[in-house]
Amino acid sequence: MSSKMIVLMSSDGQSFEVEEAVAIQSQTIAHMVEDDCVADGIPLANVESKILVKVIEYCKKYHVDEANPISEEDLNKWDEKFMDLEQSTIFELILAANYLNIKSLFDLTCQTVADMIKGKTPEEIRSTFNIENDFTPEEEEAVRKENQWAFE
Amino acid sequence: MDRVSNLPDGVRGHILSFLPAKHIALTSVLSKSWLNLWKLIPILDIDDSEFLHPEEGKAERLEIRQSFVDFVDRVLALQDDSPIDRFSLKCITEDEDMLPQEMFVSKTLVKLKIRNDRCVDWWCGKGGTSLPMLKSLYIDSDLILWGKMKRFLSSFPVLEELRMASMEWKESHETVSSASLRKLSILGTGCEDYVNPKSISFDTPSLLYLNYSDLVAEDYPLVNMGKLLEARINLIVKDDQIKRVREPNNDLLQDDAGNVVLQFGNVVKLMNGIQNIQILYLTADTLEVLSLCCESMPVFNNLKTLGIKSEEGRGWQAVPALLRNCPHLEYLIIEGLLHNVTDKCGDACDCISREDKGRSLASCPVKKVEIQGFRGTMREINMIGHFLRSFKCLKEMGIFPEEEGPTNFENPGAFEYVEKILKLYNEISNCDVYFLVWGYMRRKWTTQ
Repeated sequence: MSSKMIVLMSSDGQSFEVEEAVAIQSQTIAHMVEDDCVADGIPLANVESKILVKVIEYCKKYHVDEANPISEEDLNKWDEKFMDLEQSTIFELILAANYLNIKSLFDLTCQTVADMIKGKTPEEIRSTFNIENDFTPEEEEAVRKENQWAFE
Repeated sequence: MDRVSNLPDGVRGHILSFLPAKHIALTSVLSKSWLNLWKLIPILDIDDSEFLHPEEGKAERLEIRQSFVDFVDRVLALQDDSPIDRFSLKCITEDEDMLPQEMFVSKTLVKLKIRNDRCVDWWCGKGGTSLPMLKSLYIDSDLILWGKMKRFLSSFPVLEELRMASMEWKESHETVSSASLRKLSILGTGCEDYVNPKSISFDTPSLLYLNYSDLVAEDYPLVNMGKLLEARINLIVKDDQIKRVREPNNDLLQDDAGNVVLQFGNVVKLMNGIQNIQILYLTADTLEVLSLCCESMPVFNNLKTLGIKSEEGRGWQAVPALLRNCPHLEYLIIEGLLHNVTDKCGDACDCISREDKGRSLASCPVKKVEIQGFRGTMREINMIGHFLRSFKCLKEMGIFPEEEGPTNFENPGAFEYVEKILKLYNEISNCDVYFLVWGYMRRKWTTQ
């Protein structure tokens, strides 16, 4: 049985052919398929090819059926390897998952960043993400005092 | 380059929602653009054990606790701007701490779980409680104070699940009234000073599941739960009441319990109210109380699964009547065979020799019996034999040994002997009898 294919076009002009069943894990794409506006391919203005490749890789892995019978445990292990990426790529993925409305990928990428925050002091968090501290010492002191319980 | 701060607020909020409250609060100091972000998060999971442990003594520091309490207050005050879907608060508080007022007045709160080792004092202030969207409420504490039940429940017009453990009734006549309630779990200790309530009524027409453990009430005037599917009932009998329960008409008994216990027959009203039930679990105390209304026991036409728990200090007087009144019983679970022998457990057990024994069992259609807490005593083995002979439709009997308490298997050779007898029972009866023992238990009992 031949499966229906659709074409996704990245912001930098590259085209990717993907099975429709795999692609509609993105709610955004699913709606477009429903509204029948996919004939000439779907332009994804906010997603560049480097990221779209990763998104498609994720969706293919998560399209579980007889051809791809994979257990939850194996998926979790695969997630870990999949998310072994540079920070900048992770953030791009977050934005793409958000734009394409793929809940599980959005949760996975956000959880990864949350794990990078958990257990660190504010100074360490700033350092990890290059966040500039624009509080004056007095302002910072006031914020710390307000939520004193969290800082002790 | 700082990519994370430039993410849209909703995205950053979603990232933070995977963190426990303490870490979320920490981010407020990262930079100005993070200052108020935590307020956008719709799910809040607050557990103070994170910041109180391992440094003991932290909780006592007033400023810390005050700042934590203020934080919770502020979180709850934000509701109008950004509704909270789910809020979980786990914290150690002193007796003086009251729950924040905003917790009782929220237009959006759907599920609330409160747990406090000592006491939960539900605030009933001027405005009263108003949680119009609340569907689930779980309160676990040694003592829950909330005022009159009727008023309490009327604050939750769409409540579907309620758990109160353990609580004390404020008045001696109380009614649990809710049109929306589907699951109810009440673990009570009667009225103040461990006194039996005078009357408890249930007006809960949508109730599907009931877990009711409390001192026996003197009356159950209204039991409106016709849709109930499953119930676990533990009607607690105080030690000074048990004698009277067994001899209700004995004028020679000199006790204070008299007047109260004589009302316990009203328990039949509770049974009548749940007669459409499919799954029923009764404790040893409940069985004793039911002995006061054996003649008027209703017929449980839909009851397929019956579980009874036995204790050596409590009797099986109500068991024959129960079994007779379950015409469609399929599955019987007996947790503990040993019980207080009276001449009224009648034909259900073999403890006292009688001629007409087994009649309530013979007419019982049960197909599967499960015996738990088996101690390997001769008395129990005789009971098992009695069941195998008497239950005409029995196909399967599973026997599980007692795992924690003392057993007869500690005596050398006892385990092998019992196993042999049970194997014999399996061979000579039409029913499949199996004795399931963990490997470690088998080793423990055979190396003597």
